[in-house]
Amino acid sequence: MSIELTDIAYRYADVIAIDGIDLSIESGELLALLGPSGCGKTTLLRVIAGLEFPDRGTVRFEGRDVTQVAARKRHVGLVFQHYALFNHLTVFENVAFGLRVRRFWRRPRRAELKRRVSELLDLVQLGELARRYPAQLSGGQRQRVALARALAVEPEILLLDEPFGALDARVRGELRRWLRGLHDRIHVTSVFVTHDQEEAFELADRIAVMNKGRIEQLADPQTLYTQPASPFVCRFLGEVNELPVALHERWTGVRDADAIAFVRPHDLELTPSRNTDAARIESVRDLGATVRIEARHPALLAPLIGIQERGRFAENALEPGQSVAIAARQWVIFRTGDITSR
Amino acid sequence: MNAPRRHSTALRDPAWLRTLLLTIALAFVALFLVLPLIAVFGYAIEKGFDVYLASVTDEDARSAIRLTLLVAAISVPANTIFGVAAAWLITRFTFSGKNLLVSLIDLPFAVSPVIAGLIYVLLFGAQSSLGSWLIAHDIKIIFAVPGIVLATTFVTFPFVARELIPLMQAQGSEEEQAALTLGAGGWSMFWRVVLPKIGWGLAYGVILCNARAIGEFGAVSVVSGHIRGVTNTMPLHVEILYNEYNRTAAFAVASLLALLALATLAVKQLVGWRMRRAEPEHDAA
Amino acid sequence: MRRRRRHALPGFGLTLGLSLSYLALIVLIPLGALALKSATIGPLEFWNAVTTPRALASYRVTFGCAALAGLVNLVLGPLLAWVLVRYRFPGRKLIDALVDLPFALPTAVAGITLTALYASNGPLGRWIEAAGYKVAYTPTGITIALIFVSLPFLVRSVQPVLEQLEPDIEEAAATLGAGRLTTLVRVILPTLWPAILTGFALAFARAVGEYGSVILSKLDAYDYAGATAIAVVLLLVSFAALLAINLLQLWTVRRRSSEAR
Repeated sequence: MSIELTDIAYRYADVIAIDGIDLSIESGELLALLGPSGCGKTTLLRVIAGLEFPDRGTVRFEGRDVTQVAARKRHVGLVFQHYALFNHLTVFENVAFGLRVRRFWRRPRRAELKRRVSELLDLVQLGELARRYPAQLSGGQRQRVALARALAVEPEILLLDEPFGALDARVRGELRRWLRGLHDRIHVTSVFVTHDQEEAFELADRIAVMNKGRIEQLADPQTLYTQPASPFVCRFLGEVNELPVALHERWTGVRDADAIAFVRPHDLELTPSRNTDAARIESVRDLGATVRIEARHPALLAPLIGIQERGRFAENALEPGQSVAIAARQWVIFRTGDITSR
Repeated sequence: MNAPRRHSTALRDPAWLRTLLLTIALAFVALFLVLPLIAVFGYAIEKGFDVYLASVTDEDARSAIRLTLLVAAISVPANTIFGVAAAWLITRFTFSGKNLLVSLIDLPFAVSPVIAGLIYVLLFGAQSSLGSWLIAHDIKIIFAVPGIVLATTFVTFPFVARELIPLMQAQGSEEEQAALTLGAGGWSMFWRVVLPKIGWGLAYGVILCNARAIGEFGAVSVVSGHIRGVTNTMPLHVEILYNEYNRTAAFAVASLLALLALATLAVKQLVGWRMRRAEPEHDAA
Repeated sequence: MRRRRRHALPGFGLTLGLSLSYLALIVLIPLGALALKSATIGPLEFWNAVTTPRALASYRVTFGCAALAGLVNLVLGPLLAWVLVRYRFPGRKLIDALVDLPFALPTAVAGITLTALYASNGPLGRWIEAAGYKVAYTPTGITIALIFVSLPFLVRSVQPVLEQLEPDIEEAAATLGAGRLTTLVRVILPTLWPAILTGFALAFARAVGEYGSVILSKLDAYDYAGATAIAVVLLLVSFAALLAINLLQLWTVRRRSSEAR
């Protein structure tokens, strides 16, 4: 089931939550809506679900216009950020809910219902907890119940709102891998919202990076990282050094700069130098698998950040106080004129 | 009522302060709450149990009890339905004039019961245009049961709504939205998701509404005309008996009301306890 | 032009219609009648009715007693709440339940009970008379009745706030060197203040409302104009109290929500 959003706009009080968005999601794809708080990603998700109605624009499922169709008729599965489980029902009844509220002629018989629910509970590995109540489950378990419940009605689109946001790091990692595996098996068109870049990268086929109600870039993770479309995308996807450069030369100081080169900490090369107006190392922190180096260049406001793997670091053994020369293995350049303050 | 928080020993009030405050509090409670409660029953059985029984089973008392129950049976369900509808409206939707609506719901709380009664007398009484029309058609509202029902409904109007609104506000509508995405229709969502969620709060509100409906005095007093055996509710009957210096009988009927009050308190505690237990834990893991 | 957005949750039309019609029937029309009737009275007659010596005296008694009762509860109510929340003692749960008694007990019963207790031949009245004071059928008696009636408000409004008070701020005060009493006055009391005020306003409104039954029954039952006028005055005072309560709560919420999270 493909999703097509055309010129969607949504305004709440005086705030423009969505500012004219076009988005095309392919059938069977797992897409992430990635962005900072307030960028409109959750609102967009709810517009797809039918829990919000846009001021403008159309929503199409496989070509069919569903913009004004009520949520209950859209056949969309939604997993809420805080699970929204029915606390007065058991795990089994939660999952069975969507099947029980169907119109009489579409309702499965008792044995059939039991079978389907049990299957789903086994799928999410909660078979033994069928009789428990949500209050008796851990966060990760509740999340899986929410997922099973959404899947029970065999939706053609699965939407997830920051599904792992409320869980601790280890559980989050496990569930992420598990969700990806599930998607590979079931191939339901899925859209999920997150503010965690790592999560988006790990799970999604394509990512829509959003900011202030607009999509800054829509691409697969590889492309986003190596070819960011704007400084915002560049900055949002991780730590980055910003070095003023003049375009006609490879490397220069601040004078005559008319562009900025964005260099990832992994791509920053620091080599000992005897040049006295080079950068000076401020701190070296051992982070376990990598080493993080902060250096200051007299002409730059912000410190330079380099990250090196342990082995590589050992080769040069940089120390605080040392002078270093800067070089970059990879970079992305944006003209100063193009960098609007978004 | 939760158990007191565990405060570290550093935060315990000094012993002298504790004793002082406790003494004052207990004396206050004894004088203003316990004593009157005991007095009601004390005066009721002053002249022995037989007189007590006779007082509560005589014809006028029985008709007063019947009327009181009838009025409650009408006004409480009506106010409950309204309360649920209003709470849903206010907590789930935004619309202009919402604040005004909420204030209007609180209105009967601010209005003295006597004024409430007076209002209905003005509206339906003999000297108003509506009133004379009613008399011409031999429809009795004031000084008859319908008037009492109306006045009681007015006075107990806000109870259920006021109980449900903060509850539903705090609960949020996520479960209902989830039900929608799972394909539930409006009524299905209401019976399967909303009602179970608000169950105990609703019970709480209904109990309060009921207690007030039965005990209402001021408004009913103005509206009923005090016609013994016909338009006397229990509270009115109590007052009449007392004013006739028939103290024992007055307290006998009053004791029934006091028993109801105690039952209300007991159920209130029970429901309150259940409400807190039913509240879902917020995700800790 | 703002297009009215569709609601995702169902039931708007139904509940709006139901609520509005019920509200109109039970509240608005009767109040409208009151407003109408008082409008037909004419300002001069209104003023006269509202300011007869008897009316003025009754205002003094009404508001005076209600205020006094409110003040008594203002001190003792939060105290009781403190004791119930912070201390453990046998019978705590029972007393906690009893606090709602004035709320659950019909005023008629409370009225006759207190009168019987404080009358000249009553168990308490006897002692008080011996000391030279009279209580029943006097403003003192009325005040006592109003203390009873408004007691729950000042306890119940403060209790939840106390229960939710995190120990952190008190512990912080202790580490900074504050004694227990200082902490009570400088740290805890300010936090409770909005709840106390709300409770006081509610108690006052309720006291005024309950007392209305006493004074109005003294008026000539057929002097509708006079009764209406006084009713309007009492109503306006109650409105003001209600408005104050709502504003207080709004202010509290605004303060709290900027502090919380």
